[in-house]
Amino acid sequence: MNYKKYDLESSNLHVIKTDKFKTVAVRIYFKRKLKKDEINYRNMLSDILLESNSQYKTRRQLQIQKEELYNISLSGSSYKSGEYTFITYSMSFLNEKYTEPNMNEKSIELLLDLIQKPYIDDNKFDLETFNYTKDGLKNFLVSIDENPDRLAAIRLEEEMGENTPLAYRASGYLDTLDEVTSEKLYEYYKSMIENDIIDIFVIGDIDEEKIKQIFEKRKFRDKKNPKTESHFVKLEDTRKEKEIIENKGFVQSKLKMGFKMSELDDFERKYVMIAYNFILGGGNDSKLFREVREKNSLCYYISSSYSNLYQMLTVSAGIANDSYEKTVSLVKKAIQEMKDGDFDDDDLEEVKSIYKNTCLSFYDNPFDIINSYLVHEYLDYDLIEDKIKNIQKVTKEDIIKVASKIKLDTVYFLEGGSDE
Amino acid sequence: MNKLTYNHLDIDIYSEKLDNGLEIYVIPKDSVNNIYATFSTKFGAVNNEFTPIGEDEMIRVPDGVAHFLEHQVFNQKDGRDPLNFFTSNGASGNANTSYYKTTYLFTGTDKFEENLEYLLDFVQEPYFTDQSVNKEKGIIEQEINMYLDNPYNQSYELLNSNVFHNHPIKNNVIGSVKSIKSITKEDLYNCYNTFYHPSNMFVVVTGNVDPEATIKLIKDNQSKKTFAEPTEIELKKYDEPDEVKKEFETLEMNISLPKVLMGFKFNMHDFNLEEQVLRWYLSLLANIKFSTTSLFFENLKKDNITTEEIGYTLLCTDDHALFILDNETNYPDDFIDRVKDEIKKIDIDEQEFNRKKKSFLSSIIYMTDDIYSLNQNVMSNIVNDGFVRTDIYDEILKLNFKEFNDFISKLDFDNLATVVVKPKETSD
Repeated sequence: MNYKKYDLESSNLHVIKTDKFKTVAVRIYFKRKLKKDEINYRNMLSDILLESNSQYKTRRQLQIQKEELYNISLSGSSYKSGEYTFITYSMSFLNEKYTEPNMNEKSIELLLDLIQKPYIDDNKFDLETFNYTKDGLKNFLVSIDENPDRLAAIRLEEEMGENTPLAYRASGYLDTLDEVTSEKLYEYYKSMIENDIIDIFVIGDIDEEKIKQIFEKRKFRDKKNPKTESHFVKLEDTRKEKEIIENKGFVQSKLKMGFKMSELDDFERKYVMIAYNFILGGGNDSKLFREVREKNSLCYYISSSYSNLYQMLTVSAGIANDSYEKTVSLVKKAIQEMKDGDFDDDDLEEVKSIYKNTCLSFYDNPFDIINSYLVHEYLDYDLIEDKIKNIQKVTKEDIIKVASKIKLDTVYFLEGGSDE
Repeated sequence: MNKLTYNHLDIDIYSEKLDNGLEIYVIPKDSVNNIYATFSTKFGAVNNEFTPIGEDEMIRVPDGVAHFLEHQVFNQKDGRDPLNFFTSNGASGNANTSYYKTTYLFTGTDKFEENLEYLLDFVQEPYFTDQSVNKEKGIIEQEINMYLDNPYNQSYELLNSNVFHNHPIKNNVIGSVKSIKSITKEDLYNCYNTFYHPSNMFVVVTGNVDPEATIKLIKDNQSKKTFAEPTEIELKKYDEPDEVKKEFETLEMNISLPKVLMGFKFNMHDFNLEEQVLRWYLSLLANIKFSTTSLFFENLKKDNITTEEIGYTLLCTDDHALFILDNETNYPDDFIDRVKDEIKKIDIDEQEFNRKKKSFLSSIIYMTDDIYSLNQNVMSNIVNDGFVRTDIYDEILKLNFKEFNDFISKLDFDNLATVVVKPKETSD
């Protein structure tokens, strides 16, 4: 595997040459500082550009073209990354070695055509495409309220992230969606092309120079790529513990417990917390899984997750209504046990080998490889090889030390039991 | 050991059937790091009436037993948790149950031999006690409650129970709180002893492995264990009418956007086609008529009937195929009328048929890049057909426009069950 980075002035081009895959994967990232009132615009853009363009004016025509190019797959996404927000456009297609000559270039050109030549009519997005995309987004936002686990996660973030981007709903806001008009969206599109930081990744068994030429021919703009700042968010210090109980009429209750941590150093954030989280609630052999599910039969799932960007730890479980207090106290007990060093050295060895295995499997998926270079670039994460080496350095003492810096901030309970 | 090559796809598959009846399939792929190993029994949620091994009379076990058994197979006499074993070797273990099979699996790059041997051992040496069975009931009750909040899940279950009169596919995989509470240790042993005999099971390994060493390891492991002589398992046969049981039902749930499911029921013996060919033709039909490349869908969008793509699922029993279309829409009635109207028109263009075929072939090549899809594909082949379709590329290439049209013209689209999920009316 060979990685090269080219500065194309208006964007960065990252090319990873490898013969591991029969496919070629391309992903283009647009990023800028996250602002709450831009989220709906960005979510619209991540969809609308893959819906049609000036040549393929309907999704149907575009889909037919994708099939002609040997069933290309295309997807867009928009997500928050701490203080920043990304829009991505991704494409994956069969390497021309398995189809016919020049298909690599033809396929990449389709992606560029979609981003650079949208279907614009009279200084606005084509209204049919626009309305359709907006209705789709509306339905998606409505459907979030149908998913109790997702809803509980969003509510916890809103409660914990006051005055920071953590509290912003990455999925967007239904009540202000109608403020997005086709004209304004086109204005925002132009601003994205002109002002966002652009990174292009291509991975596969390809000729690096040829790839570079394709993107040089098809520059996004004249303007230089802006400089980046840190993505990391500083949450407000822990206040008095908050408890919030809401009921939206679901059968099962969802428990979310959010913890904050302060003054972690670089190694603690990147590695010690991974080990801590894994031992506490990372897999189906974790402390929480054993205690709450296996010993007490209180749930089908319970797990914890850790976010480096926000320095936040979340415990999630689906339980019966009347198990609320018992589950909370078992979680608190497990957190205390971590502080007391009440876990085996074997647990730590497991983390190291699981983590290594996970890292090695990243090499099997082109988009995982792309992502590992992206977060290396912007979040200062180590590359796969270094990650495998560094996790080995974590000791039991390191974990006990971070355990003492972790404080419960908010308990969110989405009460169920509507059918009982 | 047999070796076969998937034509046009640069993929080899090694296989062997052992004396005790266990079948092994290995697809080596040295371009990846990871390994995916699955160990499956042809026992799923539909097999709840059968004659237990060594007995004469047919019994009926409670709904949800196959899934309950899957959970309990993880219970070991030495108290060790198999998931813990895999985790401590840097791997990750899991299991799942469907209508027709139960699969135990792990994935991981390290200590493959040890993990594979353990996969065989823990599944072949389970230990059920009254206490372990009781403990599982609380966990599965919460799993059932989780699904009760899932509209997708609930609507599919309702559709199946409205389409089928007698075939147990009408029941859901997990069972109900009531049925699982009635499950006993004896039920589990009856099912286990009957269906977990090696002659009813198969291993599939895909990824960075040496096929010869893998097969030898499994062979050596099995030769150390003794099993009863393989016998034919007697399963209840169901006399399932061709007509759907109930044509229409509305379900109210805690949702905002209504969902529609339309299930067309066909008797597969009405056509002189191999089951897999029939599956491909139905999938091509759904794709040509209802996917985003169809004029039908484009018009639905234009007329604001839906914004969501139309989903397609095919469910088969020995006798019937259930062809399901699903959608989320604020106008379920319009959607249903339009589909009923559209599906009777046979106006498919040959060029379009060929484009879809080309796109099918491309997706087969995509599949060979992924050890999970490859493994999944072998498992489905074994369960559906009893052999691995290494000629899949040529078989798809041979799909024929005339035969396709003849087939479509014989389908009776009036035999249909519809389920609509609507938002719950609130009283306040």
